[in-house]
Amino acid sequence: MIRFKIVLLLFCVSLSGFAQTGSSISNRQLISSGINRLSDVYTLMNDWDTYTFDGYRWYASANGLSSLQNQNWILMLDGQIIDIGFFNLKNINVLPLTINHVDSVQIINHPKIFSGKFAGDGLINVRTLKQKNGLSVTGRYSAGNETGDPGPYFYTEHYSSNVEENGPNLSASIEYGSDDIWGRLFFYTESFSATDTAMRKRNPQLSWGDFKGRRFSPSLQAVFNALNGTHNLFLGYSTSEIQPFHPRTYTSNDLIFINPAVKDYPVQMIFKHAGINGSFDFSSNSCLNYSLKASSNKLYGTRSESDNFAHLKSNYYSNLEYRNSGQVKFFFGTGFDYTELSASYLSEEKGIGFFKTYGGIEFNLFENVISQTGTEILFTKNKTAFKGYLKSCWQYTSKLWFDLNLAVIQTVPEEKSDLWQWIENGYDVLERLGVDYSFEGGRKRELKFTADLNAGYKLNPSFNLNVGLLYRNFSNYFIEEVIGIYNPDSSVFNSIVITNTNSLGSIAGFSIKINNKIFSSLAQSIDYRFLTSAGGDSSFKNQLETIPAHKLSYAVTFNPFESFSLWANLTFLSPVSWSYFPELEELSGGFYKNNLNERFILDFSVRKWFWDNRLRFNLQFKNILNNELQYHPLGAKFNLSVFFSAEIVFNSIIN
Amino acid sequence: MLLLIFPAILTAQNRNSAFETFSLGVNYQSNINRNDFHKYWLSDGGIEGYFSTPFYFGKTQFGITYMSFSAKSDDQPDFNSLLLYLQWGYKFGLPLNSSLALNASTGLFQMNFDDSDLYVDPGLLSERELTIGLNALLSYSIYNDWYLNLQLSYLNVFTYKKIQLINLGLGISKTFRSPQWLKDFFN
Repeated sequence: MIRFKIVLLLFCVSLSGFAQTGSSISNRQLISSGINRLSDVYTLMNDWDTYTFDGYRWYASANGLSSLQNQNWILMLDGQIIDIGFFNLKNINVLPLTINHVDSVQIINHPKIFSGKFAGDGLINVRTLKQKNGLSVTGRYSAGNETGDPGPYFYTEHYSSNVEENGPNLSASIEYGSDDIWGRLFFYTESFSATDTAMRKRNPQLSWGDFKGRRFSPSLQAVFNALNGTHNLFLGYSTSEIQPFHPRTYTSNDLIFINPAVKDYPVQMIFKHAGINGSFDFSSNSCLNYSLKASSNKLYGTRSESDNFAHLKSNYYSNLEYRNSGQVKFFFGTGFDYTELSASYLSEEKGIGFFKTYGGIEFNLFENVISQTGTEILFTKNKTAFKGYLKSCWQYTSKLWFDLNLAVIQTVPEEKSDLWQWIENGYDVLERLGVDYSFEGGRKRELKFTADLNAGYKLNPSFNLNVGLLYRNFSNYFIEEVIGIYNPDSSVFNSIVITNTNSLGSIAGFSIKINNKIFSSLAQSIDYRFLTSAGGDSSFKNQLETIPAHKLSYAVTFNPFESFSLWANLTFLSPVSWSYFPELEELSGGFYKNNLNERFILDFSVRKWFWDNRLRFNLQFKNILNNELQYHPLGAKFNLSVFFSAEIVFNSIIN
Repeated sequence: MLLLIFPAILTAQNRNSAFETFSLGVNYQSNINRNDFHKYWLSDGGIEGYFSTPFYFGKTQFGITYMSFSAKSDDQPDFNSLLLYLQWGYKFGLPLNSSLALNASTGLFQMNFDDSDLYVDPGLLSERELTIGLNALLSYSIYNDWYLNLQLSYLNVFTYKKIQLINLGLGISKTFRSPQWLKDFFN
């Protein structure tokens, strides 16, 4: 009995940690997998669904919490909110940091309050590595190459088009670490391309250079202990306008896909961020957490037809939270969020403000059940939105536990930072692009109910099994239905845009995860997820069909020495259907298809570090089976690709 | 398959013997097969230089192969290639001071096109593509740590229409004991 209580105590401690941290991708997993860009982290997140047109800009949906259209999931860096989104694109690669400076990636898959934000649509918190003591410098080079170039056959009847290249990407940092202050000055310059035939064919108005992108992203982070607490200052900047130190001289721009236009637009995107978050500790069990940030995102067109198409979004965010972790664990807080919109074609500036107040408590209703509940009430103009969740964990035996997550979430349109937010505020973005649409009555307050039941079984320290059930119900859900009709003469899509402001539907799902350590240096994991519609209207069901019903991932990591590892991952995605493009296959002569067949994706990575881990090499092969891999019917078809990275790290060169 | 291989690696791996020695070698390469590629180009032969060392399991090798290709017609440009590769394999001892190694490799095949006789798209003057290769290497110890090597290799270049080359190589190599600093560097 005593043993059981000790186990229960340890479990409660770990659960308390879980309430803070959620699931996470460790530094070892990040390193072994050899991922190259921040967006590659999605390949390690089996609970999230993603798609991309070009391999650089990804769209994500967390654990069935939203459609793939809705990009309202939250990105944080060390608990500091980062607003990188513009219109419906939230490109995680805009974050001015490279993967080699990431300690771990926390993922919130169930609605909860995390660092002052109610994560109703999922959250990713990128945790940076703490610098070593003294002065350190790092440098990193990475590049990738997709196979399938024409090579010498370009000059024969076996001619084919050139395909993607990735990079070169160069980053460097100067770092300082001590017990009380540590920080990093970071520079990153990267390049990417979207020159796949599938991209170019439907964008005949664009030139080759428009598909080539560059980005320059410096940042400064300083963390310091002061005033009885730890404080994290982060200044970040990312622009597609310039790219210093790059050997080639292409014009630089970014690309954004505007779904209602079914078209990509070359644009410049500039992101600026200044923020500080941290805590003041009153005692060992109570503290005041705070977060302040100002950021701006600017987007403007680079071509004459998108002249006078400049948009600026500025955001100011503040949050204050009191947290007690003593005998009674509770927290409460308040925050203010203000977004200002302006555009070159409208003299008026519009502001959207929220005020929110929230709180939560941990309690034990029964001896071996620990629960946490939290609520948030958000006020904006004449509207309010209520959000609440309950998380309960029942330790049945030392090996078996059950975890229940329930949430009810109201979302007002003002919370949705997307293309329609601009339109609702009088900025007719689509009219500027010549797109006809109907959007009458505005969006309503959405209501979502989520339930997750998980059971975990720990057979022994090296074998864990987790089985889960999930249910989601959405009402008044906003869905933009864009019917794209392919014109074989011009190769462009003509669109019909219908906005559904009161879509409703339900999702049910099942998951099973197995983690097994075969030897101390060899581990494997299996992760299966099933999602299906449990009712709803056709708009909702059409959206759900864009997410694979079955997703299976099998990963093996072999890590015999600190300086050497092998990693392999096989992912299966079941077929998906995008019913928004009628007669697509016939009209495009079979080039584009509505349905994507089942996909098997095998990735492999080998890592070797040299010179006491100062010199670090990684080689990653993606899509080894060399199937034509597609994530969206109108997106690129990816062949076998290879990615290489070389990193040099001089730690503590001056102490 | 990986699960079957890993235990073997685990039992065979030996951190102490890894990087104990290293070899430097040079080969002459001659292309001996014929396929669609050879309707347009013929190889003028090539030269390979490499560095190899025992790994935790098996042997690893890094090398560069230069090979030039002459076009059969004026409609295609001549080009030369530079293959940078990384190889891993296992060596089996044979009688008469000889050994046989079976190796797998991956690399980047850089093609530099000659634009003197033909207009070549500036963006395509130089292209790189992934390769996968397999080879068998027969080595004979001719004197102390000097070896005579005969190699039969297969190379697949992942262009849209694949380039498949079978090469016969002949060369020599010398094995050295690694200085401590080199072992420290590799470990």
